[in-house]
Amino acid sequence: MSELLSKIAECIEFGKINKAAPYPPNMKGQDGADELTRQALDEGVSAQRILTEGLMVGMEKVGIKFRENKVFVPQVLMSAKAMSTAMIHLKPFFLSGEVKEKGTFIIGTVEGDLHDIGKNLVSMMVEGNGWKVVDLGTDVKADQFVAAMKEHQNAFVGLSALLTTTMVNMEKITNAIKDAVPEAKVAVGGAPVTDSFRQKIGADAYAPDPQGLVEYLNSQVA
Amino acid sequence: MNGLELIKKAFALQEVERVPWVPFVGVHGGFLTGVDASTYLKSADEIVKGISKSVEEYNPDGIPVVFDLQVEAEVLGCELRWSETGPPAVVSHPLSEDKKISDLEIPGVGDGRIAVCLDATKQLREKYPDLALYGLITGPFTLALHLLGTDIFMKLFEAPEEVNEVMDFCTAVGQKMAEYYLDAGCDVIAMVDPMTSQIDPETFETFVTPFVSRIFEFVREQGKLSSFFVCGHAQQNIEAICNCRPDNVSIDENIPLDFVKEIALEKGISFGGNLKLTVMLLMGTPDDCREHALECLDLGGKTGFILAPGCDLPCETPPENLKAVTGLVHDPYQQDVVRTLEKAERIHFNW
Repeated sequence: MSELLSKIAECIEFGKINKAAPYPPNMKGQDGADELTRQALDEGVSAQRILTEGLMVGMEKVGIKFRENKVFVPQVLMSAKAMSTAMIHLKPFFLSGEVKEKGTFIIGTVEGDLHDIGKNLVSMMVEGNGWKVVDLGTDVKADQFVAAMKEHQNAFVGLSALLTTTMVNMEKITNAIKDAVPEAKVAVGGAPVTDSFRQKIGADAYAPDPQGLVEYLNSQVA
Repeated sequence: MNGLELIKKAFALQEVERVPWVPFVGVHGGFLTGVDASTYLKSADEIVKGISKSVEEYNPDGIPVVFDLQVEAEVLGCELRWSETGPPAVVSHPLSEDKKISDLEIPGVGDGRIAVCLDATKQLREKYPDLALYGLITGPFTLALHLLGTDIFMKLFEAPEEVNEVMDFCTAVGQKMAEYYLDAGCDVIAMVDPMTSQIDPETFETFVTPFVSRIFEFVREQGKLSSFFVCGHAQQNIEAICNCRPDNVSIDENIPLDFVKEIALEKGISFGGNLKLTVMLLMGTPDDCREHALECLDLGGKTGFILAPGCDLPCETPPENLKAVTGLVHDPYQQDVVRTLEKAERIHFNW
């Protein structure tokens, strides 16, 4: 059984979506995340085990390799695609409550900024590590973050920015969130953002890469 | 020796008496003259005013005419969202919607804002014959991403032939833009391809190298100079970038300058960068900027190095910070003082 879960983890790590997928070339013709997840469910493996011992293991490896500059955006997107293909099979178990999420993470690219590659990578990694992600999209204003925080009690929130000109909006948004939900935990990230900037604006967490954020979130619910 | 000669000397890897300085003024030019980014980037006259003010304030050896990587994309049908404080952003990707690559045509000299950029180039050429004018073109991979959207990353693996076809077209666009800028009077063609920072060396060599090399070869055949600007964290690709044979590589703040220096000089090309845009130029004090610029000057050395920001200057960069860098670059005595004295003592000089 654990061999099957290891194979699923491997499919996520290397971005093998399904049998027909040509990528990666060295896994051509083999079953992918799609077939193996279905097979595991058919064999009676619980959805929770498939998630935690298969999918999350693969996604964590991708996150670490991305941090260490061993893989880059294209490879991570292929892994995310394999992950979301597998998740389709697990969706009913999330809805029924059989699979438990670690918590909720709200994310958006801040007001004035339309870039979404970084935000999407973070969303995929966080979701791939067992969190429910509420993606507010790009150009998100303070009141939209606040409304989402009120709708999803106890959620964590992440602000993304690619531009130096828009990262300054993070301060305004962080203040608005803290005013409305004083216990809120606000994480910030994006190419120009640094930990000293995070301190300056009074946010709670900064991570230079998606896996760092995952580790922060996991530490908050451990 | 004037700025253009100094830049040429640095590109030729000859030792210079003073490191050349090229502030990457984009929409910051409009900030200096009091117009918003959108107005600035749509008007040749505003661009000329902004660059003229920059020349007056920052005494550069070279300067980009326009720093906007959306000019070609807009002509090719990408919808833009304009901003008052930054370059526009692409919000639609024609090749991921209803268009095919065969529907697209190489932009003409008078299309869209290309005419604005070329008009500004001609005016600036006439006004500043001794200044190195950089014509910035959108690198093929970044332009391909504008056209295809982020699907391009997965298509690298799932539809490589389609990516190659789009890259081939974007390279033809780049070559044409280079030709237009050179005809209008530019001295250096800077191909700006920031999205290449997001891929690994093998993917770079497969999907980028064969195409961008053609643009650099074209510029060389015209007897002009070329540079590869790569904004963002692209350390993994520096060697591959140098192997594309630009005359110069200009890097962002995330890459150590000494790392690039070693590789570039070994490959026989010049290099530039990499003043920190946010923490120093935008948010730092003039003292911080002077100190930081000196670190870059000392690391870069006087052979083959051009001092420049890591990427396009943020609109509201305080001019006094850039003037502090300018003052330092042009004054060896000030460099000695900054190198020697403690920060606290420098305050007495009231710089």
